[in-house]
Amino acid sequence: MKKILIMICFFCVLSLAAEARPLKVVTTTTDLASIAEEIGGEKIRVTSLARGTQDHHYVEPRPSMVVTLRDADLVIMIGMDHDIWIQSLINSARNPNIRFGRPGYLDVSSGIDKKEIPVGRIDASMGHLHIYGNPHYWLDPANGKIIARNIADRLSAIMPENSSYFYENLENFNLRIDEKLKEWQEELAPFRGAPIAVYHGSWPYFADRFGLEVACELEPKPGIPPSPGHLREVIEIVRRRGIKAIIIEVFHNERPARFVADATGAQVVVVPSSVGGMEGADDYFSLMDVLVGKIREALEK
Amino acid sequence: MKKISAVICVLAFSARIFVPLEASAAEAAEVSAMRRELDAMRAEITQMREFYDAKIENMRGKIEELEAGRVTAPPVPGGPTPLPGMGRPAFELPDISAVGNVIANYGTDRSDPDRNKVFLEEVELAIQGYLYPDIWANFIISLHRESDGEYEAGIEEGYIEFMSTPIPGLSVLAGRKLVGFGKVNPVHAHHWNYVDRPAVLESYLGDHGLAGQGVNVSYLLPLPFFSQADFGVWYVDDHDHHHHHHHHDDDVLGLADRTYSARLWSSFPIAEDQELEIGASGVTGYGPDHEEHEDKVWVGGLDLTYRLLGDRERRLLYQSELLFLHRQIPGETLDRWGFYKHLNYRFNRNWDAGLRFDWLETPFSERDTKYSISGIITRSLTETTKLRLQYKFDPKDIEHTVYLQAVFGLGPHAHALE
Repeated sequence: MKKILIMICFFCVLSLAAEARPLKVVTTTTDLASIAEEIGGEKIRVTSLARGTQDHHYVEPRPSMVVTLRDADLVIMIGMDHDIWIQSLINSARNPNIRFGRPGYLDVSSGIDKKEIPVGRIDASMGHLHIYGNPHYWLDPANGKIIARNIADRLSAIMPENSSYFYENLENFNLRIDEKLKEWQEELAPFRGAPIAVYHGSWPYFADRFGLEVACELEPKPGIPPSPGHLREVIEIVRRRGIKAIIIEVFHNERPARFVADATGAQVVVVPSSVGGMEGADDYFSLMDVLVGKIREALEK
Repeated sequence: MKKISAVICVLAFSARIFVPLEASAAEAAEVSAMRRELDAMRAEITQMREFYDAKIENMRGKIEELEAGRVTAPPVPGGPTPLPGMGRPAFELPDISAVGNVIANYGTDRSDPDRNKVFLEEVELAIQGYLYPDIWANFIISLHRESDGEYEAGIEEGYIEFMSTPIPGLSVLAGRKLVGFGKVNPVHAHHWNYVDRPAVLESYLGDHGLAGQGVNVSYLLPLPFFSQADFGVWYVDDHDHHHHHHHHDDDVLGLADRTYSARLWSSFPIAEDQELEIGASGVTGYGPDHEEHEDKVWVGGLDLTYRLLGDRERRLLYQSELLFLHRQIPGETLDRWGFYKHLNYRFNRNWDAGLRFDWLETPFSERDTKYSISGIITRSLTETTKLRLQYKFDPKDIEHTVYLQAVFGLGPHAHALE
């Protein structure tokens, strides 16, 4: 009888331990990791495969990432072919739970109002085009709410017992986004309609949200390094439009942007496009704080 | 009389009052009905106006698109982005791609049949896609150039892979595939960081690499670090080694007939930006001319790869493979070894430069050593399109070779993590 009681106690402890185990969530980017942490709280443990200083298009798959995915309960990705490298890692991980169509596979681009979907014939002569549209949608804080909703829905489906916890976190996240969005919009309101130059076309969602106009890109075509001829055209546009800021992400080569800035007097604004991309951009909210602050400072001058 | 008059007056008054009232109530009802009808008509007209406005706007948009020579984008599915190989919108097609490899060879080695020539070395046509959930198919048909300048078509790879099995961590592959030996043999030539195959791999495994038809079982070990074990049973066609275009045919052995392969491959993240991979491989079979020479061949290998990842796609890569060859010929046993060391630095996503040192003992009775050093610089336009310059120096025979290479790819092309 004593033995039976000990066994029952042992199984109870085991089952409690199993219940307490946080869900292992792997995200392709640090932005998704930050939002997932907001929603999942202590019920999940999040690992991002890419670093914030990396260009998500060019992440080099490594064997250690395979192990991270093998042990994952949920993998969250940007989708729209932005983080396409995740697929070879998923295939190598032999984890059926995170394959396409399974509960552990979450592409958070669902529900996003996608911009710049290419039309007509598409080929590599047009540069590195994304056939499903421009994938930099997380740079619009309003889309952060859609991402958060997708994550909350999926976490609730996997852990229904914690559903109310996830939706409560979602509500708090949305409230904070709404409050901060007002602040960010007020901060950039004086520059509504201001033209900006960008290195890469990562900014349509951000620009639309804050009323900025992307007047030109330093890359002649997406993913194609700037040529001297194209930079001459950019200089002409920057001068003609009175562009004050050239936005470049931390992982791009600053030299072409400096060249244009020297010729025109515009200011090069090096910004993170992901959480962890720069000091101070420690989570999704502070990433937006840094972005809005740096762009405002440049436009003020 | 008065009473009668009073009644008449009341009746008259009532008639005066109530009859018109009854009449006005009917009129009011009619007016109200008419008003309702009017409101309904107004609403209908508003709806029609909205409908036609939208239609006109839509037509105007279409006219503008047609005038601009464009067509409307296919609808974007609301669900997750389809995987490569799942068929893209409007097309139920697998991923189809072609990769070409053009080489210009200028050198002092007069024994090299490719000396001072520009030639299309190989075309790789790949058809890849899912057959079923967790089942992947891969066909890679190659057209490669032989020493006589003729082209030969062949199936470089063609296999079905069961990515999930009832045993967790186990996957199974059947068909023809480059054998999982070391780091470079399973990788297709257009993914290398150099133009030519490292000499020891060419000499011990064959000048087209070791590929066989058979079954490979791969098991991801349940360890806290990456560790994968592979075991394969293959039939290697000796034909693969009989059409050398290498200019030192005597240096090339390779394996044939029934061949067994095994590999254990582990990886350790040293830091967030550093990773060390080590592997041990073995393959055993017969010599390509075993019917004549009655030889048995065993090749073992150790490999080491170190990666240091920096910002802006900077990367330092060191890779080395050490191979041991054991060959049994009636009355003789040969033990030979060789290695290559490769150091590559990627400055950014477009440029990388590297050095490679090759050293080996030739796999034949007369013990001879060969070595060379190469300097390589690569300009990557895209993931599958690259321009490369390689200078190779053979200090022993004092031979210089300069390669210029263009690797160019069309269409979505994927290979498994190697």
